Amino acid sequence: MSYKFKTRKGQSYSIEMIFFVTISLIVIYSLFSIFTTLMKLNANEDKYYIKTWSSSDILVRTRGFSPDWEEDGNLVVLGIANGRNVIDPLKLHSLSNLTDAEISSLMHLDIYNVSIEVLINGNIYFQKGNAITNGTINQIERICVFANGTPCMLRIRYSLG
Amino acid sequence: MRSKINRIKAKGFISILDAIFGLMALLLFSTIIFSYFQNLPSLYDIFIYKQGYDVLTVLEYTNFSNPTLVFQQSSNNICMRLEIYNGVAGTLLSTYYKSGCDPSNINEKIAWRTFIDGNQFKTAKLAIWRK
Repeated sequence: MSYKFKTRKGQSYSIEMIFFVTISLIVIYSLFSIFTTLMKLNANEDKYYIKTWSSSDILVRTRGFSPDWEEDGNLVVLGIANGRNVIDPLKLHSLSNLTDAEISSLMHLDIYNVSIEVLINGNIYFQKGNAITNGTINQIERICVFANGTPCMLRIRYSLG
Repeated sequence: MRSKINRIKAKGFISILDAIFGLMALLLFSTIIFSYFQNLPSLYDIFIYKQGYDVLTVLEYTNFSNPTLVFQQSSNNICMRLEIYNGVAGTLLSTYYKSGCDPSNINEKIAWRTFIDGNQFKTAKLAIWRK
């Protein structure tokens, strides 16, 4: 009689353990799902910011390719500097000859409207592009300098059309 | 018989306590793990450093002659403090602040750059943070 009673207790503990393990797995899975969903949302928001930042790196730190694209017209990679953060005025003004679509494409931001601005003391010195003003505009601002030592700011704005 | 029932009830109670402790331990460990992931360097940290190195590059190009003017060109939502030291973090020679900003911030990030000014070896320490 007492043997049967003990067997039943053992069975109830096993059921309890299985129940607890199941609940634990559900809780862990739920927490992990919430966490990964939040991470994915963040990653999607960050994706174009990172992409634009990377494009701005190429723009503000390199001469582009070909290195003398403003003279030979062979433009594959868009760069407007002749040193790290040093803006080349000739390359900057050659940017005016590109279409807005070409600029977006060269910066690998095809689905966005992109505009490039250079400001000196807060005043717009150069502007090219078509980032609209009635939607959400994201922007990246990079400090730069002209060869004569005048500090400036490169602002890249991008928005969905 | 009554004492047997009491024993069973007591065991049930202990089992529930075990389950509660188990759940609490689970929640505790989950919180620790998730907070560890959240404390990994954020995008904000990475780009604030990049902004800092940009500023130091421009300051270096202008030979640290007018840091205030360079600060004015930087993004409005960025604050900075520049300290110039003699040698490698020797005597503090001068400090510059961006106008409209507090002198320091608990979340400030630090970037260093060494440079030559005339015949002197100097170090620049740039503290940068978001407003």
